[in-house]
Amino acid sequence: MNKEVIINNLQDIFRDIFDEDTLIISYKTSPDELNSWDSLNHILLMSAVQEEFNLKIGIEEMQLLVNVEDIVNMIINKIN
Amino acid sequence: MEDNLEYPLNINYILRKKKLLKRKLLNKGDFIPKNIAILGGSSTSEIINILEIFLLKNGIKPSFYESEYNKFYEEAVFNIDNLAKFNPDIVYIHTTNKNILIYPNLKDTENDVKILLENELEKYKLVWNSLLKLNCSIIQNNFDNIVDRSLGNLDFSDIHGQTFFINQLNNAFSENARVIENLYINDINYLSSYLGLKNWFDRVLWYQAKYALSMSAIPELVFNITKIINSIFGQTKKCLVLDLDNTCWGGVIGDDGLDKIVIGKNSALAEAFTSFQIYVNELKKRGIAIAVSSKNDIDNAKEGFRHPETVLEFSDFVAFKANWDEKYLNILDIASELNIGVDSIVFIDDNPMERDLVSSQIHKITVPNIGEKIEKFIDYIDKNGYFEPTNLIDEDIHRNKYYQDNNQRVLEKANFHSYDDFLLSLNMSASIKTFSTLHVDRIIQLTNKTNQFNLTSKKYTFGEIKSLCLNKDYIKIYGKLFDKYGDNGVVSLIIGRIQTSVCHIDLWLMSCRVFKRGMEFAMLDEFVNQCRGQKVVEIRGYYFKTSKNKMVSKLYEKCGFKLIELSDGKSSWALKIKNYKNINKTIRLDYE
Repeated sequence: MNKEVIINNLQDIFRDIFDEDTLIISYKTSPDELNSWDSLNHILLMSAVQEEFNLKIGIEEMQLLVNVEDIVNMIINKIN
Repeated sequence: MEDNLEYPLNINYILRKKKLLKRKLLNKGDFIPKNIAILGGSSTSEIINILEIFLLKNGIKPSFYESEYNKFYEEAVFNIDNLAKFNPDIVYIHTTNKNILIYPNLKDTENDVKILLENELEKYKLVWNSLLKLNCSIIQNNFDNIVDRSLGNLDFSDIHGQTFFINQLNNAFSENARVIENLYINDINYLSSYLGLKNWFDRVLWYQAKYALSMSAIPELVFNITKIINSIFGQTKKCLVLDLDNTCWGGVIGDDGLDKIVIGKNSALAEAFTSFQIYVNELKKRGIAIAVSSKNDIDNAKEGFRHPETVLEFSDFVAFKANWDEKYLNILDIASELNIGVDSIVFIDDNPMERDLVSSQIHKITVPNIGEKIEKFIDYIDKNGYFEPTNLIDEDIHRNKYYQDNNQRVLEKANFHSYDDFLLSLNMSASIKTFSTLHVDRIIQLTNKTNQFNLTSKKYTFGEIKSLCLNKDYIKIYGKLFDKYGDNGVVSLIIGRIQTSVCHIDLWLMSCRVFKRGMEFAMLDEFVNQCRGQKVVEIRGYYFKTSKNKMVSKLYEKCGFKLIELSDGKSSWALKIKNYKNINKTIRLDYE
């Protein structure tokens, strides 16, 4: 799975969780930029990512994921 | 879309699309408003989000009160006035084993453990007693089992074990629920076992956000709470209407006969049908009305419940409709006879077409998509909580008698455009052709097995079929039927014998799977067509009565034949081909 596919899938997840059909995410998208990206939604995002990409994210890792780029890199590391 | 909120829940869909689900459900309008207070012993915000969706689906628009994090005790006991202002209809107390603060110490005596138990219980009793002043219903979790057991299996039996402690507390909870009228236990001990503790509890989520259950368990928890709430508000179902063939037993009673239907203990499949009957019987014993709506002759249908190993008997049913009318008409009759709303009825049928027809004609009836595997049927009834009771009272246990006595018939008007419209929606196509020696096996099988739609019940040997395949004086056609559910295979046969420009129908049969679909008309059209090609001027049809083929006694009349002879269960019919016009209206012919 390449970066483009990952970010597309990720974008679908973001659109569902934040309920915005037209949301466009970029590597720089972060909780600072997206107001509704609070701690509960972060957990929901992580749950959905684990489910979608069939991987597990540890406690420490989860706290280090502060923007979309981090999430994409984490996914690439785990699935390859 | 709402299917995702029924058993089996589509967990990932619910968690990801909850906001979309909420918006769509809100558009439906027509809700009963209710105030629901959630007092948590751990995080509850996502529980509330999902609970809202499930309640909206059930026609309840909730306003929520959410306690501060892990303040269930303080808010119920010391801050009851605040809660009183909210005026809750229901208070849900979401506590779990994470709320048990003091477990027995290994040095504790039996008496020490008893005191610890009483102290723990006292906390909850204070909560319940305080809430009772609000005159609302209380839904209280019992305790889930712990995942980590340093005592191993001994944790269950030793008085110092945490599992032992939890089991004692759960017993005390059930005692209290028997005494306190408005207290209902949400059995998360069962739920977590059913889901598996390792799926139920997620350490990371607990450390990180103090959820005492995993994200994927939240919809299941909420689904369970919703069943209790439905029951409290009297929204549970009252009547289970069953199909017979391949639902109450395996096989087709009309074709296979009593000795061939599958029920009892002789095979795994027979056991599965027996388990289903046992489950239905349990529902019946506690006051759920059970009824039958089946396309069958009444005598055949009744006979099935005289099988030596049947669990259910004819007298168990408060209404028994076995005929060739459409099932939705029978179900409307059942509803008016029992004087209940169609929204109180659950209909179980292994045939997807029948399910679709009933649910499309009766707007508020519940028709779960149970599939066709008997071993899965119980789950669809049980896990959807259609018949969830809040308590058992004498009246429930005797209710069936009431239904049986109350036999008034008030006809309801059917919500129906036309049956043909429905048939057209099935998008049926048929392939009707002359059969060849390739089809001999299926033809022999059909002639041996088909007893209901079979005009002459004539049997053929392998050799006879082979030789008539090659004989030009026979018109022999088979029909395959396709619909939006798939290929039904070869379902109908007609064999005609030509003698001096008259064609005698020696055999006409059709599988019961496709009764009432118009396939017989398509078959006759093609048969007449081939007769024309052979310069036949008249067709003669014969009906030989058997114990099972009453349903086709009027078939020739319906197809425009004239009666020419009638004697002792036999009738002969004639049709002049010159005047015949095609009668099939619902099936598209596929000439390939």
